[in-house]
Amino acid sequence: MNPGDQSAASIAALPGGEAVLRRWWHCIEDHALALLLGVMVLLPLVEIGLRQVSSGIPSAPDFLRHLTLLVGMLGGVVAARDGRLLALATATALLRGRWKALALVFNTGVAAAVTAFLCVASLQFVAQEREGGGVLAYGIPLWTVQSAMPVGFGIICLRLIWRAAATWWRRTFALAIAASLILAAVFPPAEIASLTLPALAALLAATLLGAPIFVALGGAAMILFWSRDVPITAVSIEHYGLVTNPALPAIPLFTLAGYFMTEGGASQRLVRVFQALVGWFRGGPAIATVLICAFFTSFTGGSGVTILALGGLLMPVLVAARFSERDALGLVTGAGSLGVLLPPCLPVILYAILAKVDIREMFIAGLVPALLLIAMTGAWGIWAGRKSDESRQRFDLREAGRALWAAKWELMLPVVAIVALFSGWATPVEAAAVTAFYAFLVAALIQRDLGILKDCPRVMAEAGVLVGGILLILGVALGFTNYLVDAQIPDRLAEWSAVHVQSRWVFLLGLNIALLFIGGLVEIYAAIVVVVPLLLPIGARLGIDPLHLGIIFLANMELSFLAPPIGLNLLLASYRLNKPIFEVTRAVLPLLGIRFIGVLLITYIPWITLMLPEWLR
Amino acid sequence: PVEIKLATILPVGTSGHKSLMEMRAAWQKAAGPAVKLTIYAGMADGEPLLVKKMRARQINAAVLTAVGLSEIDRSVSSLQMMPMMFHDWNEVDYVREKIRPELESRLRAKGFEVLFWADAGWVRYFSKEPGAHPDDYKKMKLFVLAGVPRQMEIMRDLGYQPVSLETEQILPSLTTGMISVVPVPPFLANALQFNRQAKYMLDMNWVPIVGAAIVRSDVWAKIPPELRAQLQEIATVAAGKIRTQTRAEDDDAIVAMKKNGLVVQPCTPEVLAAWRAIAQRSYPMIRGPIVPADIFDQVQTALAEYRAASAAGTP
Ligand code: NA
Ligand code: NA
Repeated sequence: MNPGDQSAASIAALPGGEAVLRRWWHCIEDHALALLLGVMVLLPLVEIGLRQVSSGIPSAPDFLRHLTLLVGMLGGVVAARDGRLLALATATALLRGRWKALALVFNTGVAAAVTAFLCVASLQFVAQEREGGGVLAYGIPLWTVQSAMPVGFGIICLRLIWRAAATWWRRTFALAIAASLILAAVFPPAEIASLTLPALAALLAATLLGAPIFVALGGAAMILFWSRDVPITAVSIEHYGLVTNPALPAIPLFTLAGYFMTEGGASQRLVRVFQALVGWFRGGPAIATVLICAFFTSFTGGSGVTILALGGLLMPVLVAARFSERDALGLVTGAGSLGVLLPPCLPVILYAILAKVDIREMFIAGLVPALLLIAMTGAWGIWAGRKSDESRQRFDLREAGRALWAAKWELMLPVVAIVALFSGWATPVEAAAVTAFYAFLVAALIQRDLGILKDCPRVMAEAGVLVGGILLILGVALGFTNYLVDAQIPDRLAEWSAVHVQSRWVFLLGLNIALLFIGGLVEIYAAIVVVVPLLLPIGARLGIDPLHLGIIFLANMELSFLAPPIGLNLLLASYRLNKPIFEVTRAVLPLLGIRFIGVLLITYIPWITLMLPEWLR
Repeated sequence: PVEIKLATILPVGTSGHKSLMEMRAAWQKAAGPAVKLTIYAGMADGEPLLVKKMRARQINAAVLTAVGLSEIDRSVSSLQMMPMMFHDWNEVDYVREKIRPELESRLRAKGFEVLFWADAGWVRYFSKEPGAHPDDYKKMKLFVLAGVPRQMEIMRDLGYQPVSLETEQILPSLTTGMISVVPVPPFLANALQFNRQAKYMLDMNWVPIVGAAIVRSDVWAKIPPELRAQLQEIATVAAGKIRTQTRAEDDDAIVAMKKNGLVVQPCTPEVLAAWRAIAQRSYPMIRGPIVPADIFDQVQTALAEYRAASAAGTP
């Protein structure tokens, strides 16, 4: 899991001069990425300041939207450089030696072909926009900024091939696969209709063998559009449309805030606080685990960072408090996905953008359901920790005070985020910038966990890489969704459900089961982008409030992190805590059942979700 | 067959969508299998994105307001983006008929045919506190749709405090007090429940929402000329229906909102004069940068004609 090491190793293998040059170039890329993110933080802050005295910078939101595009593409380029494009970690893990190398060459060939077509599609898009003559602001033509898309995909394509193997003849082999796929698409050897299925099959094989997720979704979208005789530019338009959505900058900005927190020393200080506050009573360590996991996940999204950052810290605490190994493992794994519904968690923001509901209303709607799930998990933890009685430590007021004082700045972080979001003087995007800036202040200037020049650019570039990987997936996933819309699948689903699904309860039960499977197989952001637009028309027809539908959807996603066989939390806990996946699955089963009941409650009692937003309206 | 894929932001089940479906049925009767019209309703994308999709040939027709149409040719903004220029629908209808050939030929030059023109209500000011005179609103924060920086500048230059937001942020931002005035047509205020927070409406026509259904010229040209004329005729009938319906819907919306406690602030002659003076000040900023100067002048000439004729009793 340390791809940076690989890249360092491949540089070390190069002759001296070239290696130095390359290292310099990589350093420039990282710093450019950090700089772009830095501007994204500062621009809204300046705007908030100026708004007090004038009406601010009229084109600030437009610059911010396009900065997101640049961060996304550059982040993707850097991720490709370091081999960190998000992929399914499946079959490649089982393969060894020559077979593994062969799989890599094959999936790279397919991935490079798809990326090359994404490059062409966005090139066509830029040409079309250039003709349209749009202007960003101050006379800057839009197409110049939009060119980041073809340039980015071009570089990603080359880097994929470069990383396919260490030897030139294997790279050539990957290139040959890519070239023959491109040729076959441009000069189809048979009827296009008869080529669609083989093309999709090849794509699926490459995905299982480790091709990046964005390749799977973007490739599927382009193949399907191709079969309907729609230009593949459609995918680029969707990509551009989503990445430059005015609310989207909240995603990189909150991600950055999360990175400042996890890369600093916040986790240790917070564990100490919760230990001191609730660790002393029966099952207290369980409560501490649940609260701290929810706290972390709300800032790091559904990325599984919580288990990676905290798993190693919390396991020993629980075991020391005489939790059985299995219960401790179950609790850490199960709690690791709590908090997906709490502000400022990214999946909620993404749903709000797609469903055209207000971000803040979604967070208000998610509050009670989130607390319910947290309480149910905590209750199980207390029950599991009943044997911890005798080992009870006494409550130490002084230690609690000291721990609270040491972590006061970190504890203020959610307060800053929530006040900024809900007080009414900032938009959600501006609130995200305020939060990121505060997290920077705490990590770099107050606690001094991070050196401003030594660590901050690195941490920001890390955040940029994650954002780049996610935005690539989101952009092309919407392209895929757009194919479904073009083929009128949502309408047909809505018509079908109008005939066959009379009761919303039946629909919701079907939805719960379907989502548990989808969530266990598909990356959460891609699932939101692809599935939500399909659900909205049906939900509207059955009279389900879009806020309620969203919370049901996200609560299901949160649950599916624990779903066998490949829920993300199972994989990450197994990886981080060094346990076989079977053992993790067995340990988390009771919590899986309890949380499923929680999801059912949220689903069938709309009041849990809608009470707060309706009261506040 | 010629496949026409028409996208609209009108949601499924609205009267506008029903009229489009009727038009589709009538087209099918007239053209048989020669023309296939697919309607994508409730498209959540903004209008600029729909224009991009038409340019890329993913869709080839759309129902757009002047916001989207002026992405294709700025001349169309003359019908919607000049505050207080038109006093009522009669004036809008008269001027639109006058400049229609010019607008249509400009859109044709950009590769699009107009199927029909339509409109969707008058924008009115909904506010949290009572207000009538323009100065009343200068104290309040005013909603401006995100992505139109020019409009921000204009409103700021006129002395207002504009805040740029997305449509879905309006209601919660009214609640938190981030904005307190929303200029929207009544049917939208009613549909999105803005009146729950903004209980005062100024009874004054600010700007009309004007739109059109357009289709890519290259696709339209594939249909034989006689059939095309027939389809165009059917579209015109549908447009008439949509127009009557939407105008009635606006009135119905006001009645419905009044029942829920909406206070309608009357627009006295003095108040009207003050607003007209403000609007006049914005015209130099609009003529040229937003509405092409020649079209701007044509609108004013046509209006002068109409007003002179109606003063003489022969509109
Ligand atoms: Na929003
Ligand atoms: Na939760």
